[in-house]
Amino acid sequence: MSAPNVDLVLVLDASDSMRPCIDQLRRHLRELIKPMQGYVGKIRFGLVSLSASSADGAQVFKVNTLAGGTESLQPLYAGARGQYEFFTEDPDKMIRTLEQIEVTGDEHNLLALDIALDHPFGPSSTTKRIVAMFSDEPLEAGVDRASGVSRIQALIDKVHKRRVKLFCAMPYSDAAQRLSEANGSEVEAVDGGPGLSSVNFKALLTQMGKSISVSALQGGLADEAPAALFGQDRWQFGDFGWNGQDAR
Amino acid sequence: MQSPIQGAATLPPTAESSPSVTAHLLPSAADELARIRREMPRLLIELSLRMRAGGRPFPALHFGGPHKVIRLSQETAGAAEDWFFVGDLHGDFFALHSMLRHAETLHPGCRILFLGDMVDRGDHPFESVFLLLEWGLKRPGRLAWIAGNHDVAFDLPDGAEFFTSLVSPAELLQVVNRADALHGFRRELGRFFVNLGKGLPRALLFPDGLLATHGGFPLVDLQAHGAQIEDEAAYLDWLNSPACLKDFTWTRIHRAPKKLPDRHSTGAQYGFKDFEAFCALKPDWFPVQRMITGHEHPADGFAVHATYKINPAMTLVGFGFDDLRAMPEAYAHYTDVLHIGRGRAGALPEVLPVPVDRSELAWMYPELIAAPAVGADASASEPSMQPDAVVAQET
Repeated sequence: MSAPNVDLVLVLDASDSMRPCIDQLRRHLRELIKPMQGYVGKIRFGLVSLSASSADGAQVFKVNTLAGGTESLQPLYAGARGQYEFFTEDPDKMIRTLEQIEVTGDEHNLLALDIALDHPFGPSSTTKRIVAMFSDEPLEAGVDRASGVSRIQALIDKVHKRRVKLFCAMPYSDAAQRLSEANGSEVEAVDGGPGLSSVNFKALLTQMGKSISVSALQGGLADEAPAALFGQDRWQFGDFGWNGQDAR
Repeated sequence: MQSPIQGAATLPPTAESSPSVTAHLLPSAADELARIRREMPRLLIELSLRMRAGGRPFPALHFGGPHKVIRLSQETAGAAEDWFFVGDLHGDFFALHSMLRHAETLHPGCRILFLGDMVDRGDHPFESVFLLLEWGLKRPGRLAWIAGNHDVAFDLPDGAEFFTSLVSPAELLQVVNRADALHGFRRELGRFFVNLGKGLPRALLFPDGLLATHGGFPLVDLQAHGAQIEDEAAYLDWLNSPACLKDFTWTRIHRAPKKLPDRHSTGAQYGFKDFEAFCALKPDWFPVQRMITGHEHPADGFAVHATYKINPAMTLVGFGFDDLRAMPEAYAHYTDVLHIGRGRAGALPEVLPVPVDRSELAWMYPELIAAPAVGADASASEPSMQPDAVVAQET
């Protein structure tokens, strides 16, 4: 029996208050890896950090993936990923990328989750597909509240179809409760204050690593699931928004 | 982040389960392995004949009956304390042998209920199958075996050259599909196991309300149909429908209140409120109050699920190797204690520790297990029964 691989996408709320969380993740990332060593094959990391704002009546998003800034969504959704690498086996690269995340603005965690679910995971028959989401705000908070929450059921269906196991550390809310009903999901209700600064990340990541180690492959072949539930595949990339970033 | 299964109960070892009680009153595992291998051709013929309708009874309770989800009568079930429960074995002959010996030592009239998953992973799948069935042959009416998902996943489709399995990885396939001098015999063993899986019951409900099931019960989307049934016989037929049988065998317990049935996955999870809903569905016709499952592999060998308060639930593991490691290394990290459940009327079974005799284990796996030093204090390696957390391994 060959050990299954792990593809793990970290989803980070990159809003103003989240610097302590990102720093803790960077500092303790190896605690996540340790419990998996010897129990799984390759471990690949992916990343989606997202912050949001409104400008001139439009919602403006700043996204980081391992393949780059918001522009990396174009190859993600165009299916022409070419030289773009959305996963890395190098934890140091992941740590460096975490260092470079700029926190600003507001959050849209369900959109970030959706982008993570659209990542090019390894085959579900050989790969544990994991998405781990961190935020200091309830899922209902942030920009675009109503449409975000209205898509939770569609997101759960997508989690199921994509054979993803979902870990969340965020404040308790009705939306978090609903997300916890997804098969294979573990939603940890935390009240860590701004940036989850009072959360013990070493313990949290160690426990998450153990849970990933012992979790089953979600089984079978992944089914087709609709991409870009928030229409992010149709975003227009222009000269407005942060740092010449993006708007829709 | 918390593990899927938490809150293992702390159950102190009982006086009657001390290691000295079980010391070598019955043949060693290595001797039994050699004996059962010699006996397998004869057992294969005898048990195959017994599988056929009209022959002598098969040595497993309610095998091959019209219903696979069965409410046991008081007469059939007998005393709760007679029953010993064994979780997933996955080809671990040593564990099965140790637990059978332990149960018989504690209670010579014991009855065994195996919660399913005999094959895959471990290195003695067929030897384990025949050890258990031979035990039942010699003790009529005292063995029950509920099908696990690995037991029913195995098949030889019509006209196919090779066996298949719905689970992956399925190490049994490497055994039965191997082309060597014993291929013909292995193929017959494989056919026998396919038929065995088809005839095994899927869940047994004891008179005191204990549901013994490998995975779970029909999930909430199916329950909506069951709730509308107004006739007891029709309700039992519904429980025995293919969709419900699949849920009894394949679903997975979780600490959460509720889970949405994921029909894209064979192993959809459920929560404690989902179980409460099932218990409340038709309490006069199928009065479930509590549940014992296999399927999950809590790291400490068992879990009493803390969030299941109104309708309690527990999970048992039978095997002792470290199933997160590849074979044969998994045996090099063998547990110090196995766990067996003993029935208690009106409550979940009591979990009894079965200390592993490491010298006996070393005799079976000399290249992997170092024999304890002569004169070593056996109790020194006796593990704590105070697990502070249980991490689940799903299968």
